[in-house]
Amino acid sequence: MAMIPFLPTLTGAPGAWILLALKAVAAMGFMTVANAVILYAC
Amino acid sequence: MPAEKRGGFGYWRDPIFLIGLAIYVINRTLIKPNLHHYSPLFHGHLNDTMTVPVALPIYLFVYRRIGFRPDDEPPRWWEVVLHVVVWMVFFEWFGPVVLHQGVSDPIDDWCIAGGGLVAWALWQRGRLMRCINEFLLRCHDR
Repeated sequence: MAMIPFLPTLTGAPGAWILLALKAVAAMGFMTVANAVILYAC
Repeated sequence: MPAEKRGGFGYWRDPIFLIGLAIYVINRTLIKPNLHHYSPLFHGHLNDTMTVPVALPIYLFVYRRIGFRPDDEPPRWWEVVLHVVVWMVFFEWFGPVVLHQGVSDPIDDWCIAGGGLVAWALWQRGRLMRCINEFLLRCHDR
């Protein structure tokens, strides 16, 4: 998994995947807001 | 922020980001207001070309703070490609068609992708040079 280093191992605890999913949601939320700012302001 | 400190990417202190930001600011504040005729380069394409070098480090910095990015390596090829695809869809389709903001122009896609390719090559120049050197040494040994 050297190419995608943030992925937990497939046998990892479910908590690691839930935490990753929460981080992904936060990242996508930021991306959406930032894209809108660029679209309207730049 | 995760404890892993691998990589030395400076995000908002990165020289490619700072140069791109300077080009964008100079174009927006000095060049565009003083042009008497419409210029496709200065009114459109230059800003699109600066999208990846200026925006991506900020995005990656936020991902790092969230803990979504595990290290401080320079932007990887898939990080650049993923954001270029998202920006193409967002700025060339979602903005003009759904939000009625901005204009769709296929040349903009090429500018965003071209700027991303050049920025990625500059961010990965050390690794790319090592690969080229190894390739040339291998050719020389044959």
